[in-house]
Amino acid sequence: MEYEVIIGIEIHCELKTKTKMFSGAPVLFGAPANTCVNEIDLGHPGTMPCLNKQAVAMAVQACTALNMEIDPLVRFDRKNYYYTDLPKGFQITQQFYPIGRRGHVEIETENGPKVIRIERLHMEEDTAKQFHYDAGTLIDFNRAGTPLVEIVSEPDIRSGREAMAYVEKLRQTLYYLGVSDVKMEEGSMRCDVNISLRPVGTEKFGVKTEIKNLNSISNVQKAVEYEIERQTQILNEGGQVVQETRRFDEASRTTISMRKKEGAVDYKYFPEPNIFPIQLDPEWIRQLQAAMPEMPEVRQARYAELGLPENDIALLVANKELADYYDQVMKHTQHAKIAANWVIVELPAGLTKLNTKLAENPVAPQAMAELVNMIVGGEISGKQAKIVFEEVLQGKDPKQVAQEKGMKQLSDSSALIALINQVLDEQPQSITDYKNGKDRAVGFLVGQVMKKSKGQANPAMTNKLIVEELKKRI
Amino acid sequence: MEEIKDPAYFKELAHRLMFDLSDAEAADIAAEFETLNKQLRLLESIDTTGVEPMVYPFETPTNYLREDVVDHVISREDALANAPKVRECHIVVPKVVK
Repeated sequence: MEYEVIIGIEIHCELKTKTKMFSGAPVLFGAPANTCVNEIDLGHPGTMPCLNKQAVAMAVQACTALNMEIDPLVRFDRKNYYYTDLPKGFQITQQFYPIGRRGHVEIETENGPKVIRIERLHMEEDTAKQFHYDAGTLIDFNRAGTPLVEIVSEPDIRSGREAMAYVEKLRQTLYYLGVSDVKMEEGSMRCDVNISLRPVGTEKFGVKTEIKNLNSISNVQKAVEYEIERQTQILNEGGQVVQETRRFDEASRTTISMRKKEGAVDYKYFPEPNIFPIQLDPEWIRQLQAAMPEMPEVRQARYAELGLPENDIALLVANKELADYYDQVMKHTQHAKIAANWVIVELPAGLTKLNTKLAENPVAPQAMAELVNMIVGGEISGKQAKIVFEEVLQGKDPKQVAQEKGMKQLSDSSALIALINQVLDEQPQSITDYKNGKDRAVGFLVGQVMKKSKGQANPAMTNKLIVEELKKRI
Repeated sequence: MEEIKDPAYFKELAHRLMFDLSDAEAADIAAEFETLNKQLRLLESIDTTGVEPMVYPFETPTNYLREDVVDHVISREDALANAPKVRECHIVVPKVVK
């Protein structure tokens, strides 16, 4: 039987604030255990939560970037459950009035662009981190109270690829906004995938499973594809999918049952009595929206207008820091394509050789632009530029390096013509070849002229002049 | 108002909150609960027709938001002071995998 795949995704994302959602204790990843807490995070009796302004600002910007309606009256609720990672015995969340509703993002699929609707975005607090050992569970409360947003999609996703594209789209958007580190492997972005199958043409949703423990974008696709296969097989054999939580096992590339869902858990939600509803100032919301950085799709369109090839655009947009650097370079040059090539190819290769990262990039954007301008202006050849770049990577100025090395591109046509004629006199066979229509003779002659000029001849000019001189001799 | 709850109900409730009640404790709590319930039933005699339920004592929203500045962090010693068992600066609890 043919099945339709129904996928909805919940994403939890830690906000990059300095302090907790409801307390003034610091948020630091990788700090020594239990050193970033205060009484509020530990749920001591009598402590009162106090909402972090920056977390709300980031949530407002995230809602805006995801095309959501913003509820300017911020309200919180309690989700009650007893577990050792939750010191208060309840989590403060936004069950009844999420700050964002009815949004959407567009993803690229094999069949063109597709809109994935987003049901809600709400603010909440993270739990403590637990380490389970045979002898007991160790708890680090540093993470307790870290601001989170949870983003819930509508069940609009239909395949593993779409699931991956959706998660990547959210990841990129939140990263560009600067509201989160969105590192799946470090847990600052966590992804739960709900997946069910139904016979094509039917309306009723099938029984769903929830997949957790997806610690990379590519695992999202792998896990979904495995789960589709597993559920298809069960249904084809006349069986029934069990509603349960499964985790992705990276080693076997399969999903493994964690626990069965025994009816819906009753979290006894009720409005959080310790936080009164907070009315956001519409002017403040407007200011936050006006201050938002450029989003990936806008950058993409801007690069397309510069005439960059699709591959270069994709590469730059996917690598925000590199693209930021490229934008800096472009402030000092007009030559978008050549600059892109140097930023995408030569710079990372150079940094790898230096065993350094882009964050410590020694090449000032002006220097990179200068080098590009020198190439385009015919001052140095592409080959020479690579030699100059070796020293630009040491922090030197390209003009100065070229001068020190006595590099000049020979672009003086009378000097070039003299060289060319010397070469032609030495290579009569090439002239015959050219007469017989062997165009590659020109390439050979260019090579000879380059050799004679010790690499300084301007290749484009040489090529053009050789053809002219050849024609004179035919 | 709700029906009378028997001691077994409270034993089950305690179990869900991960602790145990003795038969005597459960019986005590059931009796206390019934006393409270009686008081609450008195409230039912008040006519609330046309009165909207309230969540907060004041209906005016607030607008205070805390600036994102670290203002209070306690020492690790203090953070761990109440824990019966500590290992490698972590609080240790019995293993209950959710």
